[in-house]
Amino acid sequence: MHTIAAVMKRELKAYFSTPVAYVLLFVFLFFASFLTFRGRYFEVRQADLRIFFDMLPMLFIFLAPAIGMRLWSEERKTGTIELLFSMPVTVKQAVIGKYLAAWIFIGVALLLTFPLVITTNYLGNPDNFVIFTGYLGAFLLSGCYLVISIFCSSITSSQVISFIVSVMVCSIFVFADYPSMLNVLQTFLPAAMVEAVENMSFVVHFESIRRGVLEFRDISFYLLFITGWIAATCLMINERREA
Amino acid sequence: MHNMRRTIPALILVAVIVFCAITIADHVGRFWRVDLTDNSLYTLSDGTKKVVSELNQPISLKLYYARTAALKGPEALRFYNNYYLYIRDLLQEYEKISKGRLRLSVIDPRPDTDDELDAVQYGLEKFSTGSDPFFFGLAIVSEFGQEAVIPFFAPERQGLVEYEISSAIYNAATKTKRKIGIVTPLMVFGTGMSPYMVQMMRMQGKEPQEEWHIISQLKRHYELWPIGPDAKEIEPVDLLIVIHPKDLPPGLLFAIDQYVMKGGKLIVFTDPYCISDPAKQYFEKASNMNKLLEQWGITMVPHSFAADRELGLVVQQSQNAPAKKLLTFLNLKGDSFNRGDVITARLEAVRMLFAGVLQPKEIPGITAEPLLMTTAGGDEIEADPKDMMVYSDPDTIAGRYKESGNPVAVGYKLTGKFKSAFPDGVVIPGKENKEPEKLEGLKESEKETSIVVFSDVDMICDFIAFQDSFFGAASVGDNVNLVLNSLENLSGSSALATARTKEKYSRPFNVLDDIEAEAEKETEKKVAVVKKEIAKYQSELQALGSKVNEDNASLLQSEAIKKRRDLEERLMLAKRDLRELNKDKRIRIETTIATLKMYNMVAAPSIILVIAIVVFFIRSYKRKKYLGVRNEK
Repeated sequence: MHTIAAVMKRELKAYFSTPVAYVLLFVFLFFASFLTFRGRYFEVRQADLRIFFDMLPMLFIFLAPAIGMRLWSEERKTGTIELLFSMPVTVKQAVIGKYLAAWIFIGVALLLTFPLVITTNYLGNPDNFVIFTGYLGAFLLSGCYLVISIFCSSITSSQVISFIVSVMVCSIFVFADYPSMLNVLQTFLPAAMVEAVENMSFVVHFESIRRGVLEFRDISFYLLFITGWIAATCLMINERREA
Repeated sequence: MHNMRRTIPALILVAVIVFCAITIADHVGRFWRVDLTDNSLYTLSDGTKKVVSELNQPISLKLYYARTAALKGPEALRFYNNYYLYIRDLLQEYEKISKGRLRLSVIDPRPDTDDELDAVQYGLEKFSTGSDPFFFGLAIVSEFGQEAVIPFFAPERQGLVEYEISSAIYNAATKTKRKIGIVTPLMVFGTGMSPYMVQMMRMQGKEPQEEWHIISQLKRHYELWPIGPDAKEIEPVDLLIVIHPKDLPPGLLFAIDQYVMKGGKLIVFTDPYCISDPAKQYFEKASNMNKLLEQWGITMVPHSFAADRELGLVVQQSQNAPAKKLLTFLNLKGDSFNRGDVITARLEAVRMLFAGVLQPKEIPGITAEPLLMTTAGGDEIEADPKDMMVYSDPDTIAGRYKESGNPVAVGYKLTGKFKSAFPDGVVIPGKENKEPEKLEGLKESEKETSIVVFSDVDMICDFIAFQDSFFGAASVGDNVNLVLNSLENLSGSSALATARTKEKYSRPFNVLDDIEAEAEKETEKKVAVVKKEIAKYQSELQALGSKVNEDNASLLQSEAIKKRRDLEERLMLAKRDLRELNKDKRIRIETTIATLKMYNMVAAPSIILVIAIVVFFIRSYKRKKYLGVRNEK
């Protein structure tokens, strides 16, 4: 646990020691507000953050890979991966530590959208429990994007390739419940499998949390999904180390 | 390479394990949930639980959703896909609480299959959205073959969906639909023509009268019995609805009276100005049933409308006309509803147009409780039948409006044992040289009963209570809920009255609404001052006119011209002031929005940049210091 915390601290420090983190935060905060207002927030005149949470899955498609792309690619490119594992750190600890650092970074980005909550509370009388569960769902959702990005970062030493592949894989999980996607799948998969694929969509599981209903199946989906991809990342790193 | 051969199967194994774990968790844990929304919007109501717990036979719920058609159709159908998932989950919740009495099956009716034929036979609505037909409805079948159907789940009706499902289950379980009698001079049932005839009439440029949407809605849940004007007795029905009781013959009035005396439940929609009435003259569009209602404890004041500045809606009378607030077009909300009565407890928005004023009359043994009312600032606008402007001009109504300090009631519920309005019976004049007929009946109700009175008819007509949507008519606000609640409450199954209004909430931007309300108040004040000045100038002009004689004609004429010029100048200034007021309102709202946008889009991200710059300087300072120390060494 102590080692995971140490890795996490090191990674968080690394984020904020370069201007990239600040630029990412700036861009995310700007677009989060811009897209919310462009989504007719002031015209609809409803004191809730539905529009903000609706566009988050799209925004995360680019944000999470941008945050996660460097985590392993950079270590491999600069060769510091050898240095890292020369220390008393296991692969699992390193993967979890790095992942948690990136997740906390996204958490900070989400927390910094608090002016939207203040604005909504100033303008009307929102259901703040629903806003809270919305943020909780958004945090879990971001964890899924991030874990995919970290896996992609572990398979290549090029950050650009890692970013592009992450965006593509994340998009598949976002659009898994789109009719056009399901239509293609059902041409060669049985109905139960199509439903199972639909159930893999990030958006489907975000839907009820966003509305203020915490369901076991949604929370378990996010946690199992993250655990599975972390296990896959550990396997990949192990394989690369041994290669 | 050797490692990769080992890693790939391991990765596949991880994927399979995660996929299976997620699928299992989805099935096992689908009922473990916490609803954190205000008023538990996503939890089945007690009414539904009661209806389901009272089931005494197994019932099949067949959810028809043309999933394949939806997937092949346009992207817009994704909306229905999500709604289907919501409905499926809701029905699973029903299944869970029923302890095995409800069995859910989800069917995808593909073209040319038995499933498609069944869906059509159950009466589900069929839409063509491409090559495959689209269905999205529910058939409920009891063990005894009794059926109840929801032909189509329109997402716009999500607020009513729990009620619709619970009501359909209740109807399938109780074997027979309850009977509702309808008394009305209006063509609420339409002309009853075939679609072909309707099309033919349209081709000839004639607009056929279609059935009112509210009637179609009621037909889903009840058996409706139209009662003709010659009826002298109401057949045994579970409830009677009187819509627009205009010039009802004495025999029919007597029949209604006696129906109540026998303990029958009654709902009355009466109106001082029913826009849906086809009468040509505006003053011929009124109705009232005061002859009976006065005796039972309520009176609708003739030629008076309920008005309210706070609840008034903005209307645009013609395409180029400016939008104005019509104070008699009420959008009841918040405290306008009696929260203590199950009929109105959970309503949020009901619209009424030129509603009448209801006044209670104290009668021993009768309880009268208001269901709908204006705010304390409401007013009664007297409308002389000769005064056309009150019926058509929002400014005239606003000009006469004064905050009364007391709410004006527009809906009432009466409960108790009522006395007959015809204690000595009634004499019905004979037709075609026949002898007049004398009818006698009960003088007092045999048992306690309830009557609900609303002082508006337009509130249930298509143009107020419904709006057109892609898949047909969708209800607006809670007008339909109000009618259904009243029916359920009066016809006995009060459990159902609590089984509705899901995911409906309105949380407006109060700050912007307040700015608008304040500006409107100022505008009205200004208009009142200007109108006063106009009246003053006009009376001065008239006074001048009366003084005119041969000697002073030219002198007074020039004075009149000067006064008229003064008035025109004043009017111009007043118009400019009004424009300024509107501009000021717009600017205040736009400034508020712009400030908030700026604060969110620029200010908050800028703080991050400032922090970044500060961190950068601290770092470079530390670095310089460190290098300095090293150089000294």
